[in-house]
Amino acid sequence: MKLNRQNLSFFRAEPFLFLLILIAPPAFLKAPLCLASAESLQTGLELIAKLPIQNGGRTKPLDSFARDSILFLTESRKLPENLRPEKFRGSDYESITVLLDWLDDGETWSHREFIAFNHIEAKKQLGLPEKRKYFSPIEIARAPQLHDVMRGISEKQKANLKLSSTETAINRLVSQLELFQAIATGIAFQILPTNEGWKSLTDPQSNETGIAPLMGAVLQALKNQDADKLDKAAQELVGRQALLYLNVLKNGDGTSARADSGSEHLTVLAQKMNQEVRFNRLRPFQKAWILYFLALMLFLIGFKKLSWAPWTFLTLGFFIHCYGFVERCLLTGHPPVTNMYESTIWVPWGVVLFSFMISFLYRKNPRVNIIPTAATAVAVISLILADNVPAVLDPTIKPLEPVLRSNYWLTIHVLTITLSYAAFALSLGIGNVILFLFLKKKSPTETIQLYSQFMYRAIQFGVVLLAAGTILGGIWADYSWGRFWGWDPKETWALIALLMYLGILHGKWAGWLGRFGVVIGSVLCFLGVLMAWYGVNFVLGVGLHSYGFSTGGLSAVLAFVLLQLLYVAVVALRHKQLH
Amino acid sequence: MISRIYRFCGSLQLAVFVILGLALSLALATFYESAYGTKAVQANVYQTAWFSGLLILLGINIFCVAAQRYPWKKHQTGFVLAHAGILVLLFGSALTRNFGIDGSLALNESETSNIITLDEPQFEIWDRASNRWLLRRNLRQNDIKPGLLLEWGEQGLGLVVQEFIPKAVAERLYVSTEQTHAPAAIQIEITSRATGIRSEQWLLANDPDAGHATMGLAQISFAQGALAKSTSKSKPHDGTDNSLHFLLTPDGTLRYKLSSRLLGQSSGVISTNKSVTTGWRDFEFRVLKSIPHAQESFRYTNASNNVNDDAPSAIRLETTIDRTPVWLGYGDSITARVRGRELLFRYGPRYIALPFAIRLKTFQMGKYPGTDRAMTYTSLVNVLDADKTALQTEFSKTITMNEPLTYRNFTFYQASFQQTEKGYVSILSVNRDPGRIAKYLGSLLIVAGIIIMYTLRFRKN
Repeated sequence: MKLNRQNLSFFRAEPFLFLLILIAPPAFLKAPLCLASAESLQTGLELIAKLPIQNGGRTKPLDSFARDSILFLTESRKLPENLRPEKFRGSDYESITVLLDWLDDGETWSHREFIAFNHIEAKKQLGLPEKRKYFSPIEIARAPQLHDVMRGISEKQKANLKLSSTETAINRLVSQLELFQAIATGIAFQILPTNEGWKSLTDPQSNETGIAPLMGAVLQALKNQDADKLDKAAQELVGRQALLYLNVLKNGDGTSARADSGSEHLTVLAQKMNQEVRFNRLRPFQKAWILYFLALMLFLIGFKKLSWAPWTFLTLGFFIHCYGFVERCLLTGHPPVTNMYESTIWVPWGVVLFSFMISFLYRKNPRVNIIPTAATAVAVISLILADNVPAVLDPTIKPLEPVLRSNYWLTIHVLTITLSYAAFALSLGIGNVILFLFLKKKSPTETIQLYSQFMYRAIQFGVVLLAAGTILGGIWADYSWGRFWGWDPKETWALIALLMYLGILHGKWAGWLGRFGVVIGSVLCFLGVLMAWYGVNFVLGVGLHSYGFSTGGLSAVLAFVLLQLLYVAVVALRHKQLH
Repeated sequence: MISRIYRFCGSLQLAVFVILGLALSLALATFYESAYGTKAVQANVYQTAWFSGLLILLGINIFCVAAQRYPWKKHQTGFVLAHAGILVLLFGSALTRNFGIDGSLALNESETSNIITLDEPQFEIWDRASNRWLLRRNLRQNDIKPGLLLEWGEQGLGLVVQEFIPKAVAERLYVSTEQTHAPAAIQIEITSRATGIRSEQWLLANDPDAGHATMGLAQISFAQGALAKSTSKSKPHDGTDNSLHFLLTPDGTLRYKLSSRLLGQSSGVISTNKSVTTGWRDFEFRVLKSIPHAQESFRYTNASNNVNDDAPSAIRLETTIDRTPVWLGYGDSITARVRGRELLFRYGPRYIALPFAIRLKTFQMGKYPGTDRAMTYTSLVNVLDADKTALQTEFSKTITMNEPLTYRNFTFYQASFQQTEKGYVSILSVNRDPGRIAKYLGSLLIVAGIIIMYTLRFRKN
């Protein structure tokens, strides 16, 4: 089941071609661009932002392409502070103007330091200064050892061998370079629909159909800060593209059935572009964590008279979280189960959901607020991570591996398993609160007993879901490739996590573990969940779930694990001292 | 005593021990896999007796735990169901493991086959004279170790495994043979002191493929025959080419003819291990070995990268009578003369014949628009059943990712594909699983059991 991803482009074959191409910018672009005042140019930019482009195997608005590209090149949502555009800084149009400037003035940009590269070993190997974070495209392309390293990488890839972390980092760096090059030369701008698929700005047809000159006019108007001309050029560009696309839809496969729905199809496309741009701007998962954070603060302060307030924020956050999911599912066309980013926003959703459910079970108890408090704490951490570490948790919508497409059992099994992670994450939150109570000289036995019960409920949810999810994974595997269980690391670690929790529960029933032992044990069990969730994909990196493999974030995860272990050790020592 | 053992087998303490022991071994196994690859972990952990023993211990423990609590009370419904479910699931897995078939079928477009290969090593000996199998033995990777004797019931005749390399790299070489019609072979070496480059090359006389080589910018070839005037003109060169030609004349002398841009043309007789300056930069060549009658052979060494699961295994055998060494890579066969008989030795995957055949009509790969990334793989196949009692003797079906074809208890899945010069090869995995029903039933019982257990307890609380 090893599917080779061979997207070696010409750069990898002939690295020095990069410079040749970069130095000759597309003919329709000349003078550098300086940006005009935000207010007047917005109408035109709005149209350009929503212009459909084919990229990464799907049709998306230029706005998304701009944001994805900035994210990939700078490993951040924004350019380095000194390079951010002045006029549109912080506005909805910041990304799109940056993208257009790259296209307009690739020459200047290729000397600016904005491509993020953090791997110290890799920098050493390439002979780049180790302390800097950002590098210019030119200096990367001219890095002394780049060609040799790339030759080694492509040989390894041909032989189907695993790349080292340094090589992976350098491979990614070259992809960054390629993307910038493709943008600066216009190759990346596949905005011309033809019967043979979407063509880029550099295709001769782009000139003939007027798409390239119109894009040139857009850049020109933007440079002259001429709002009217920008508006006009943008409208013409959008109109021309729509007309061409309509023609393609009508003639494309020569079927008359398609001809009738051509304009309808176009309307749907426009709606999709609108929807995606709206989603990009709203950033619902960011709003969700802000609301959860407010709720957490209010829960912690615990105003007696405002007891409704944190619950309101929590509910609002949950709604916007739900909305974000629905919107993202509609955009991607699949449930949020295909990569680490998606599970990192799905799990906190589950945590909040379970906190509602368990709180409802104990709604008459006055001390039930500890559940949403623990839940919001976990959810905020998880969502902040998802929102701020794009290099590791990549929010870009990418095409799915064939094996992940259109499969009912796949969706069900991953959603179930990740929901169990959510339940266990909630139990971890509550568990840590209980451990805190054990630190007190006179530990409040009654409260600890109640909280332990809450934690036990969360573990129950987790055990049911993890057992069911692991088994459903077996059913999916059986249905997809006829093998119920094959000791693949991902499924094995799901089983290990389940066995760990079962070990704790059976140890409790056997009388080996008291209340304190159960809490400590459950907190430690979450490390098994973490291994199944993160570790298999990012640390082990073997097995059939290879489509989810990635690197990065290891130090952060290890730091968390160490902190957690330290906390447990401190509490255990203290507990021993007191008893 | 027996009752004490029975008590112990059904104790919660044992349960905790088994659960955590299993968790720990599995955890270690995944790290082992990360370091040594999937094949290694399958052979050294999951397929071993001790691992089966651990699972059997789990089964015994669960059985005793449940049995000792009989007669069951109503509130134990969930507990009984969940634990019975695990037993049923383990039973189903045992059925699959012992009676299931998990093979693969690789088909070119418009190729028909009913032979599926299983990923289980087999050793075979075929007697060419009597046209029959002398030996067909299934081996498990763990069984293949030095000292393993393979016999086929003839007095004093057999093969002994001398060496087993789980992940091997094959290296082609030539060895001397008694067959006088076999062509000659030479091994040459080219070195450059300045760049430190050194490479070796085997050349087989007059062979259309193995008779030529390209080393850097130079053309090298080897022929056998009379020294005729015409040979020098047979391959016209404009004199600017870098080339090196060897000729073995019938009297056994090896001659060379060298041309380089720098030094022009030169020629002469060459003996082994004598260095000659080529005139291509500072390269020198020498003949390392010259074999008058050569036959192709392979030597296997350990693959340097241990994670690469694609590297095949290899074994070295010796016959018990004259200790003739035989190297065999996984999937290879070799003919050897033993006691005057021509025997074919084959070491490779076991294969079985299906009662019906599959023909691949076409294979299609859908790509994401505007990219080279695969979106779907689809095989359109014909099922050809010779069985007259079958409802349909021939029908078509598409097999695509996540949509298999099931026919007569065999299920065909789109596993992967290869792209060759001739077109696509579709790789289907073929599977028959007698434990499937038990595994599904067990799963259902486990989940239902846990849910019932928790809801009943909660009401009680």
